[in-house]
Amino acid sequence: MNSMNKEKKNVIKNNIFILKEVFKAIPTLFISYLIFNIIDGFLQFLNNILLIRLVINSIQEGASLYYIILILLLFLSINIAYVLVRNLLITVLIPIGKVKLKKSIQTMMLKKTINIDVAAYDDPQYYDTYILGLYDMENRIFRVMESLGNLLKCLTTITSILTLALLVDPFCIILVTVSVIITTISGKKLNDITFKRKNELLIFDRKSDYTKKLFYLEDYAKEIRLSKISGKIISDYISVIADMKKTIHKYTKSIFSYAYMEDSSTFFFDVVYVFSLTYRAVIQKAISLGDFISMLNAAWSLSNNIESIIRTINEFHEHSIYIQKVRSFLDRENILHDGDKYVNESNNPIQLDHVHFLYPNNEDTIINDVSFKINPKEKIALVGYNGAGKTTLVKLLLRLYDVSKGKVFENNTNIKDYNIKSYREKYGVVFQDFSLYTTTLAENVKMDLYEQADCANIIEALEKVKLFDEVPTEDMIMRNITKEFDNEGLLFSGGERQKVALSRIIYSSKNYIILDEPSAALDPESEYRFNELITKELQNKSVIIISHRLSTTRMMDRIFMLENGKIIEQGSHKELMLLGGKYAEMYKIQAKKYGLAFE
Amino acid sequence: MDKEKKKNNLYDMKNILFMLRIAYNACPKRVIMCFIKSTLGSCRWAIYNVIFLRILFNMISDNADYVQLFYFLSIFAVIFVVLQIFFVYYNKVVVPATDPELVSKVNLMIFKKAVELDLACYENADNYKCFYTAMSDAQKKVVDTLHQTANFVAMLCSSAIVLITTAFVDSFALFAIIIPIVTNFTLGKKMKKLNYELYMSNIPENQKMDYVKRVGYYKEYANEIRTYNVFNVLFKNFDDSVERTETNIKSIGKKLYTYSIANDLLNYVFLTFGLILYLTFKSMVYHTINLGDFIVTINTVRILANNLINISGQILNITEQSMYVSNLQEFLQFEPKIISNGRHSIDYKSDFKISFHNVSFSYDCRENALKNINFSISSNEKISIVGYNGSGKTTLTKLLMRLYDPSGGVITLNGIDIREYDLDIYREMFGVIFQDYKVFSMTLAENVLMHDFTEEDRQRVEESLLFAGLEKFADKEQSNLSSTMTKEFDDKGLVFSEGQKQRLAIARAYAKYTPIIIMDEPTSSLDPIAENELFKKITNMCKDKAVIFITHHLSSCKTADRIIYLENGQITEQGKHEELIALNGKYADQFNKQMKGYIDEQYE
Repeated sequence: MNSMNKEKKNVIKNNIFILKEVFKAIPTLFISYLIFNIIDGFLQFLNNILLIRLVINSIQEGASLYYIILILLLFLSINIAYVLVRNLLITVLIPIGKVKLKKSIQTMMLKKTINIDVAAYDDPQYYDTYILGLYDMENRIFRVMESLGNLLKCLTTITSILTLALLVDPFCIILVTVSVIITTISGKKLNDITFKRKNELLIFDRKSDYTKKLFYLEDYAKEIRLSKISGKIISDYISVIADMKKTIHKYTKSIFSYAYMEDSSTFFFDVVYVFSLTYRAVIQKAISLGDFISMLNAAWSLSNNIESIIRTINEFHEHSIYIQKVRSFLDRENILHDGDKYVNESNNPIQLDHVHFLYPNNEDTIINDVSFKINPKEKIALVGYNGAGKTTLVKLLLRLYDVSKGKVFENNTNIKDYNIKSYREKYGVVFQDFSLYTTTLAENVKMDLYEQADCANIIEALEKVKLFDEVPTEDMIMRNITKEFDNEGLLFSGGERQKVALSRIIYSSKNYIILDEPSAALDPESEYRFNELITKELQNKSVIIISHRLSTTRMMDRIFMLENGKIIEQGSHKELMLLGGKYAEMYKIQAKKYGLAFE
Repeated sequence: MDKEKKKNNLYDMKNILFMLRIAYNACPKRVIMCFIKSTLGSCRWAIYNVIFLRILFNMISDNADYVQLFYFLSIFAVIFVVLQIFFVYYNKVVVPATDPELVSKVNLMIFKKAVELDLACYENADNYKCFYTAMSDAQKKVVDTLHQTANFVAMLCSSAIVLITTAFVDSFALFAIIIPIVTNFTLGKKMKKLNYELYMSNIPENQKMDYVKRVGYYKEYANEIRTYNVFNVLFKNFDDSVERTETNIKSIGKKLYTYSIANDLLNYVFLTFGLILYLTFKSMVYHTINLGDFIVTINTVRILANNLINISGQILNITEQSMYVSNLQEFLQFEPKIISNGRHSIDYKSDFKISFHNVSFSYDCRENALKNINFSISSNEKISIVGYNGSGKTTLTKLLMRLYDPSGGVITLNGIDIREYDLDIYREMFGVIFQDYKVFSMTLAENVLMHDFTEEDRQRVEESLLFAGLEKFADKEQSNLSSTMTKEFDDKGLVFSEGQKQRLAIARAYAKYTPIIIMDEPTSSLDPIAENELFKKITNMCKDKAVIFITHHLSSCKTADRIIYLENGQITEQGKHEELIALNGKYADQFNKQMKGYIDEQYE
């Protein structure tokens, strides 16, 4: 019972949370929408119940024709005014409000997202719980407002009807109360069972979605065509459907009986009420024909509105589940904290001191006691097997993750003491899985809003990486990338994409440069040019490069060979070759294939 | 214009019938029940308002016998209770029980078609968008169409009941209905058109906003947006899209507002105000109508008006769906170009020779991805294909496996056009190791075999795993063979590292015992030592097989029987490594450049 109260409180809290956001984004529209719904509810009562009663009673009582026409004209003008307002809301104000809501809620959620720890993405729950919730919320937020509007509207109609009933036929109120009680009890039971069933069906829904994905997405298309796997997938799918049916069947009887109770209680109320009204009109002759018909209409309207309120309350429960997800996302605390120091402009040494790292909820140590120092303008290479920890080291340097043990220093200051953003600003990075963005080429190079003043520098950067055969013009850099939103958009091959990524580094001219597998997609010709580029353009920078291609790493000042998160060898290429360890072995294997003999 | 309209209507009708047929074939019980339920549901109100109330009021005003009145009410109560039970039964029993049946049958139909589809349909963005919507929404749309059509028919039925009885009571009142019908259809259509226009003009903006969300929420961008300020750009783009959407709404909203007001006012004036006024006159001035009929007429006209408004809305809904249905139809009736003619079969064990004769190919009928390709591969031959990105290497192998058919020229197997062979049997010749292989959420054994696992396959699976260097998973005691892969549905599911996945791909190829192995940059994400190890495995596996090997790393080609150098879709050089080096062309130039990276000063 306690937990149920708590849940109720949560439902209210969550919905109020979102309604506050609505109010912040569109205060005037929100208030006018609610007021409009109250008026709407009252008007339903006026038009469907009161008008007929007035007219019929007046006719029966022999009122004058002018009086009736006057009433009709009054109703007409009220309704015209109502239509003018309602349609303005529907056709213009609400659609604009919806877009505004979408903007404000998405901006809020995106701002949070781009500032949460990267570690959040490693949480398998992240996509299942949060992302679905975030996507849902831009439509949900409007629906919460709608639900509230509908609730107010129904309450107004019900109140008006009950007021009339109190005057005309109080018996109606007793019947309504009984029917509401039955409906609520059976409705609650029905909800519980439906919810239970839904939960049990969840796994089957996910499985069947998975099957669809296999057939619908391009990723799997080749494999499905070149193997017999499709037969297996289909037979699995058929058995999932069979299980699904069994589960549904299990609940059919109880759901049917509660649903019938819920449905029939309001219906039963209507039937009994018809009998009672007829009795009062015919035998007692206590009510007029106008009252008879208006109360009959009122009875139907009451049960409809009660049903509608129950639906709305269920809606609030549903909203609450989704809002809860978003709220828990928004409340998520970052593990990485900002320091209050700011980095200075100059090129300083970077130092790792006994650094350890393991991912949260994972026992495997990824980085195990790594220490080294990078002097200003030094060129460093990280090499090693897959999973040796090279990319993780880079993430620690950038403070995308915090070290689990040990310290990282920049200019002899622990990087945890720096403001994160200002610290990261010092780096120019090309990640292994870098992306190009569907916006202009210029902004893809600058990676910030384009201004006219940037033009020359951007062109120069693109020129240096030789993205185009000729020197690009301003028109060219203002073109969009990809054809996704622009049929004239530029399409780049893997190698060209990598050149764009490199141009970011040249453009931003940061002091520390990190390149993770920068030449993977380049063909031999471009790779050759790329090596030249590093020596020429990045002369005055501190550079860290990760590469499998030992021909690229060879020319660096120092090479760190990593294995299982440890540095096992370090030194210049020459030194390591003389050492004759793992590095030398790797190098020889690669070189041997080109027909180069050693020893 | 008129003819076109008629044609359009006919077209819509056809589309609906098409969808209904799909639904009926999948689950006839559901379709029939759905129509009965909707019709009864809609007629119930017509009967209540038109027949029940009228008789009741007449009985009251005629001072009918109480007992008679009681019987009358009871009979109707019983009828309504029975109907009520039926509706609950339909909603809570029939629908949940038949939904999976309906949905799965539609899905299976789609799946089977999807498998038949040419790979080209997936790789061409325009086609794919059209097919993707058809595939992913089909079950929902089939159900929607069923409901909408059933509602439509139901409303027609109840409208007919109401119209006929009203005509008996007061034929003049029918005029009050005709005007709103006309305005609803004409203005309604205009409004729908405007709404559609608005919807279409907002699509690109919505897509742009979706893109920004994707970048914000998906992991692939997470590192980068934290090290650059690129989200400033995206926020600005998002705001621009919001602004453009608002402008669109405002400019179309004005017209929409005018139309909607005209429509609603006409409705109200005629249906409520006009009708009551008319009936009042009739009752007070001419005394030709009693109050019972007065009330019933008002109620019935309201029902009728509601029905008619809903019907016109429903028709427009159906028209809107029509576009979707034609997508689906196109999808289901799509004739794959690559079809199996099934005349010749293949003896995998005997020697073979596949030859390209003057083959050319283009993805989009414009630029040729391949031009005048001539080459052949015979049993046991090892061929390397090299060249720049985009030179056509992967396309060449796709043609070889008949994932595409050539635009010009022929490919022959033992002198017979490969199109003359049974497609499945032909494709069975190839074992493929891609760059982007996928792990399915099935057992490990099934992931190796790529079909159902039976006890007979055990040895083969274990052998393949052993061969590929996944021996710890072949261990009998741990029974890893039957453990599910990926954590998609099983928290204890096996998750493979990249290296292990690559080995799994090799196990797959090995388990297939095919005479030809095709490898598309299989080692690109491996470090040198792993790469070397893998190479040895592959060489070992392929001793008695023909091999086609695509690579960037020219060092890997040295041992090939033949190297094919592709440039801009053409074979520019072909021969053994030594021959090409001696030729001193592009291949030699590139090989030397790559090699130079490894020459230390001391060895020079």
